[in-house]
Amino acid sequence: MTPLRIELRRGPGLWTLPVLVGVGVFMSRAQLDTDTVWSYATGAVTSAPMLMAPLAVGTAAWAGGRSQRRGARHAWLLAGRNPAQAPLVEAGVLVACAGVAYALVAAVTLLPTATVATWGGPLWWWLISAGVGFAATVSVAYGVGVLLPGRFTPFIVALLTYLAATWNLGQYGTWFALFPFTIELILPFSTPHTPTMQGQLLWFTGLGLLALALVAVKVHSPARVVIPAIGASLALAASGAAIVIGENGRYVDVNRHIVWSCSGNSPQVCIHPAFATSLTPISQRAQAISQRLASTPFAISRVEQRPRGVGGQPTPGAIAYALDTPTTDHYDRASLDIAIAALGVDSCGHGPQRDRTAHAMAQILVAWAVADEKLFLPRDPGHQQAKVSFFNLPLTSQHQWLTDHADAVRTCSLTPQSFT
Amino acid sequence: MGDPIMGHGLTQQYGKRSVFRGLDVVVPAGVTVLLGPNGAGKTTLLHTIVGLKRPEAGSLHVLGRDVLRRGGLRAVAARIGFLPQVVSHYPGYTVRESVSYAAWLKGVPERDISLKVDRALRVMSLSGRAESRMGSLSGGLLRRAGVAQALVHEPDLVILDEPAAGLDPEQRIELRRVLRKVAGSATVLVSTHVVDDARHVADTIILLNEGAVVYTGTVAGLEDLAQPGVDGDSDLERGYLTALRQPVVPA
Repeated sequence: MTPLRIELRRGPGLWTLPVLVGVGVFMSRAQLDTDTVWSYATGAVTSAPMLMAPLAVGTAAWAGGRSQRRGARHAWLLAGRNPAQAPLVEAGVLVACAGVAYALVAAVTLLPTATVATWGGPLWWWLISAGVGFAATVSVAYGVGVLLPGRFTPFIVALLTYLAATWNLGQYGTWFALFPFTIELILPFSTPHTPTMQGQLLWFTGLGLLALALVAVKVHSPARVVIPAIGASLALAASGAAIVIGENGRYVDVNRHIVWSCSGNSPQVCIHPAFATSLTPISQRAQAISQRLASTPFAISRVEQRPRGVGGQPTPGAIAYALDTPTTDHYDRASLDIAIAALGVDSCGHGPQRDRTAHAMAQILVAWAVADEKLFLPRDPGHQQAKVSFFNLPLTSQHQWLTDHADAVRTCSLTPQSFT
Repeated sequence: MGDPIMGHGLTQQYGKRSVFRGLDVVVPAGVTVLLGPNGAGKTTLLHTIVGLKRPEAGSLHVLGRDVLRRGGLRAVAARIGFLPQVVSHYPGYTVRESVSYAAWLKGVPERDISLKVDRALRVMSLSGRAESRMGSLSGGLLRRAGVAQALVHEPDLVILDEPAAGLDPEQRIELRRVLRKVAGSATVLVSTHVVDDARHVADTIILLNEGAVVYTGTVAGLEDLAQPGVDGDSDLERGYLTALRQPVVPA
């Protein structure tokens, strides 16, 4: 208790704790657009060590080198107990403070989510593996401080940690997953691939313990203690790395157990349960679009929220929209998704069929469908004339026009003359 | 059971520079003062005895254990108190915390630490500065705190490297009193290059010069070596200088 009490009072662990928490909360909040989705909130927490780590490892490396700089290593070597106990107390306090800081960041970040989320819960394996990775890095940094107690070691360790974390952002796969600091977004449509995270847990734990075991070697701890410690930590690290490598660092699986929240019949609007609070505003927008497209070949029967990009295909007969955040501007974007998908003009904006004029003409229809003519910005007077002509038609004439030009709409072959 | 410290044929070198070669040294019970000029090898010898620097050759028994064998030093470490030449300390610790930490390191049971720390602080007249930060202490106070760290666990062997450095005359007198008191229950080995310190406390003097022991004996014996014409303010100083001028015979 004596060294623990002294280290808590005088060591750098507790002093850096508020700073770590402040930096971590800043980082996690900066990563978070909405509190409503557990996977987003969890991802924000796991990204916090990106910014916390340089400070934490610099402090740990400083504390590790302190004994050598202050001559206390003599006292450790002449200890009447296992000489590793002294540095282990120091490292333990630092690791514990880092862990507490991470836990506080998690609590501050996840608490609002707990009050507003409508589906799911924290992704515990992800939270724990990232937290253990952070703590293990502190342990490794302390070990570096003990083994290489230079004046500039803390700065170098902090800088290298930051650079490595930044570099790792551009990586993916196995090596990405073996590094403790990441910024990763797991959509609510996916579920974490827990074997990778369990492997990370073992790998990080092994690395952290190995660093402490090497510290024990450095201070001449008895071989009967050191050898089993090194063996156990190597076994943990190797088995964890093997699992992560075996899983190719895969982070997510498709979540096949989602029960969609739906409302209405014409069209039926379905949304991921994590966004259940957004069902009403999305339904209102979908209804408005549906009413405009009713009695045309573009009538909508069902819309579904889907993730952007890969995996975004809706069920047959339905159209997809994406929603990242339950805010008004994202609802408006979702409206555009619905209108574009309903009209089938998605390919007009890109791909081999891209034609600026055809794209502009498609935009006229999308702007009309979402009832926001400001969305269309005419490039020339012909485009403007086309828009005015179409917008000024009575609704029944607009429906008729859409029926007559359905093929041209779908094949992106509209021209300004199509509207006159 | 032999003498508390028995070294034979000790060889120590830094790189290619030999500090001592084939040194025989025996420290008996009581207070032994290790004298010698700067660079004589005093600190290296003390570091060798406490295990901070393993000798290249020779044998070394401390408190009856062969400390060069695996686990030998570990077996007696708790019974040794050591004050290095530069007092190791964390500036942010208070004096009480520093001494408490030293006591814990030496394996003093938790329940006894407070009592022993109070006693060590009292012995070193540091009770009034117990809550001062180590970083705020003067050189002399820091030295006294270092001695308190070395004594707190009531060791059987106390090894102090230049404990009087930086102390004012009053503090030196106090330190001698402490050493004599400690010697009642422990063997004390003190290094110094201040000859006069030895007169008042030493039961035995070991004089080291150029890595060789040039005198082992009592204060009176060293005084007897004094030759006329040798500089010095006392017989002890003259005896000291006379001994230093003897040719050093390599072992």
